[in-house]
Amino acid sequence: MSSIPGGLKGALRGDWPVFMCGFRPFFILTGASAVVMVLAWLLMLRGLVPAGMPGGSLLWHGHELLFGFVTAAIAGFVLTAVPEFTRTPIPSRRALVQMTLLWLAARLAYLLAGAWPALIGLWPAALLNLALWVLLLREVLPRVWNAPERRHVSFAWAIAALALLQLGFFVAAGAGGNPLAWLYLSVGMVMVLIIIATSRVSMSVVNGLVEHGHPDRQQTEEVGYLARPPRRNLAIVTILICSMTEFIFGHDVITGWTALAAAAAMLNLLNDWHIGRALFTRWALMLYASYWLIALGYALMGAAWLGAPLLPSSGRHLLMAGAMGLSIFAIMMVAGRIHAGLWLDRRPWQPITATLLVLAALLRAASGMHLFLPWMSQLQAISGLLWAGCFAAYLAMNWSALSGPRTDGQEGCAEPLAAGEEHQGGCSV
Amino acid sequence: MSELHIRHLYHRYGVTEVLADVGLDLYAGETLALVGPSGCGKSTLLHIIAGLLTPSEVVMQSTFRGLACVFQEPRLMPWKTTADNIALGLKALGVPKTARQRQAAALAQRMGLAPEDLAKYPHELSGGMQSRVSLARALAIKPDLLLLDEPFSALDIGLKAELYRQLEEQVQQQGTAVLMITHDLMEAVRLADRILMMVPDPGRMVYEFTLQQPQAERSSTWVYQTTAELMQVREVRIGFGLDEGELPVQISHHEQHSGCSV
Amino acid sequence: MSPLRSLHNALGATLAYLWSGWGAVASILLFCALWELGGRVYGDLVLPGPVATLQQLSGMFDSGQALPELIISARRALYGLGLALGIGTLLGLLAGRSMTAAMMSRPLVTLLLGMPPIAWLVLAMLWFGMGDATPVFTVFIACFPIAFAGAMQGGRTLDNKLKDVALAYRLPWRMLLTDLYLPHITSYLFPAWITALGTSWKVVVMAELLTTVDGVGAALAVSRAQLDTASSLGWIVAVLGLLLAFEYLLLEPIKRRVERWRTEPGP
Repeated sequence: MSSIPGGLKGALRGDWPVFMCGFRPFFILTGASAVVMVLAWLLMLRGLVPAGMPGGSLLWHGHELLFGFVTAAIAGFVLTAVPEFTRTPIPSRRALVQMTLLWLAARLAYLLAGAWPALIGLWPAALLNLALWVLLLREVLPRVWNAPERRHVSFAWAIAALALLQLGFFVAAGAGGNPLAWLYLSVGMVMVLIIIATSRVSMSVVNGLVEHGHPDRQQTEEVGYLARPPRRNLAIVTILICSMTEFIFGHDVITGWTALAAAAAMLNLLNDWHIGRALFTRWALMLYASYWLIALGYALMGAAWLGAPLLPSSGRHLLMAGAMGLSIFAIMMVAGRIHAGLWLDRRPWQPITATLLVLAALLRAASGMHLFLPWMSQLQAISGLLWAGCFAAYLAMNWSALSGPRTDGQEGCAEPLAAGEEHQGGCSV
Repeated sequence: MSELHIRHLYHRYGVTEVLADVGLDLYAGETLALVGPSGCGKSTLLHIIAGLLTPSEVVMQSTFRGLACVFQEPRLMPWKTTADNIALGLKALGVPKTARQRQAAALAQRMGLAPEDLAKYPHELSGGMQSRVSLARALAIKPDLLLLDEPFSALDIGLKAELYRQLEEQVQQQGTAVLMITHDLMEAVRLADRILMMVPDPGRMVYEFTLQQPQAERSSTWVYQTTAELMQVREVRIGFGLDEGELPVQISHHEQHSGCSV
Repeated sequence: MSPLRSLHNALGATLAYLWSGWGAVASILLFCALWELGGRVYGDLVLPGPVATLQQLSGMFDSGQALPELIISARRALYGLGLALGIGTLLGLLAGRSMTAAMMSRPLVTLLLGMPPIAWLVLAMLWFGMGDATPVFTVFIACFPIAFAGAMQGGRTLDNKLKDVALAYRLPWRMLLTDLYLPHITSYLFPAWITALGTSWKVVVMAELLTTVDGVGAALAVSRAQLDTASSLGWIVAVLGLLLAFEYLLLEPIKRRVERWRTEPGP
């Protein structure tokens, strides 16, 4: 941030461009947490950094990447997309500042939980995290509830579900239950959220509506991609069944079958995408690849539970590091530019980074296969460094779009001015 | 010159007399409109001329060779693409495949169908497009007698006007004779050289109206005026049920020609 | 359309069709989870789970026990089915041509369809003894009314309006057949044929169970006698797998190809 005049009060008054629109602070936090948390985790694994938090470092790693990194991305996305989908005013600067501070405090509260008495333990972290969800729901729920036909209300349910799951995690951690099972359940929920969000975003991305009004890219032909509900609902239901089965039975053959079913349902969902040449743009391919990663992730987990020689965490990391990482990256690349008044980034770093992100996830998956067990820690280190590097690259390449003032003379989250026409709220992310 | 003459046409379904002593003449290049309320036997008459029905009694003489029908609904073969539907009659005539596909494509273009529509099946086409295909199928065989059974009744004004234009072109360029059924007097006045009014119970001709104005000089105002004039004719008013009254059944007994003065 | 392009299209359509099968795979896998759960509840002796069953089945294939029996059963089913489809379709079409014949045959079809195959089986055992002819005849008699009814329906429901079009445009009889009757009738025949296929498999296994010494049905009888639930389930899975493969990999693609005009191939 080049200038910080007026401190926090200045932020509220509007001197900090970073609080101009919801995606800005939270996409910065997304990128930064990806880098910091994964590097810290690699160091903890090697014992180079002490991990004193209750429940140990594995629990911290899982929880923070899920409810820190992913939550920041979700917040950035819904705070920008929901006002646009529902044609409501964008959230106030005050709300954004509050949520940003809460997010930061929640991270600190977990990290430092080992420093205060065990009786207090993770409860401060729990409170701060929940408060963040409450603030987020306060922004989202009225908007989607009052919108015509409540078409986007599923966002609110998904957020509420994640909040409840996180509560379950903390209760289990505090009361001696199995907090990891709650994290696994949350992974399933996040996959559902990806499918819901991608179905909205993909229609405008694949059909080329994101750059509606771009001076050099006039819409030439109709693509006709439609994200139809039946297949999506099948995928969502099977994923939920798989998650619930895992929650109840854990590592079990029954869970294995449901995971394979989820994989098949995801491959089935790809039917909607097989539309020919329009798929071969970097934006569409990223979203498409993230569906593939979900399918492969569930397939690997299913294979592991049915007795194949690999660890379920192989598949789980395809879901999280792979599908989640890639779709977050893709959505940040689209929403994070259009709503900063910039057209999409066509520089080559972007497909390269996306490819490396997938590669990182595949390496992590390979590290859990019995075949590669001798090289497990090396593979995990390479994978983690690559993955963190991708998000560092994102931050570096988009720093001014995220934190700087807009260059097109508009305010807030407005899209770029269309060539030769008055701006109207289009249909992009 | 080709011509069609019908005299003393009777047709019965069971005990109902559908057509009684109907007669008409039609010459190449002429457009004849049959109007009348529903149930007056217009469609039956058309089916008889098309050879789809054998009447109970008739004296019919026709020198027309190529006859094409456009039905009330498009009636396309659902398992055939647009191109194959248009080329149906050509295939029946034994035209080789490449030639008939070429002709179908040309006709489709004339009818305002896009090239990609040629490979579509009827269920993928809108109602208006199906009607165009149906007309194209009829024109494809270059008929010298075109039978139209209310083909435009379900279409919107714009499409109607366009298909009227196609029809007029066909009549002028090919000298095709057209026999059309319609319940729309204005349509009849716009397109026909002669209008025959039919009434039911039993189906028979009661009135004939000749339009002298050449097609090209028929303005909208003229069409409105003429239609209004026609609406004042007693037979038309009674026939359509606008006025009370009886129209006598005149049976010619073979010494006198049909009810309409041919 | 150039041949290369149509090949490309056909290939694309085939791929798209195969890919659309994932939805079915998903629901079968969910069923496997339920089955596994059932196995857990009732124990391996009563209901072996899908994993155990598949292991048993692959064991049966490896030992060379499964394939010959399947081939025997398949041969009997196909003989019976082929006869039923051929004769049933032909007679059905003839019956469809005439209102009187249709009126006469409708109660007979109802009678044949309502007759339980097991009753036919008893008669067949009396007539043909314990040989190949018994299962073949039972399959034939069970499938015949299905094919007959489908063909008759197709013949009866031919749209008179389209027939008028064909007559008005002076279609020669050969074109009447290829351009009007056959496309129309196939759309009635195919569903009937697919139903008949399913029936033939079910009936042949049942017939073999009671009458023959070889074939899947006989093998099932043996495994039942030995209280070998896993083998029984293995045989059942094999029969169902073959049926599914036959229907979805052969008949359904043909049906889609033939009936492109009905709806778009499922996206």
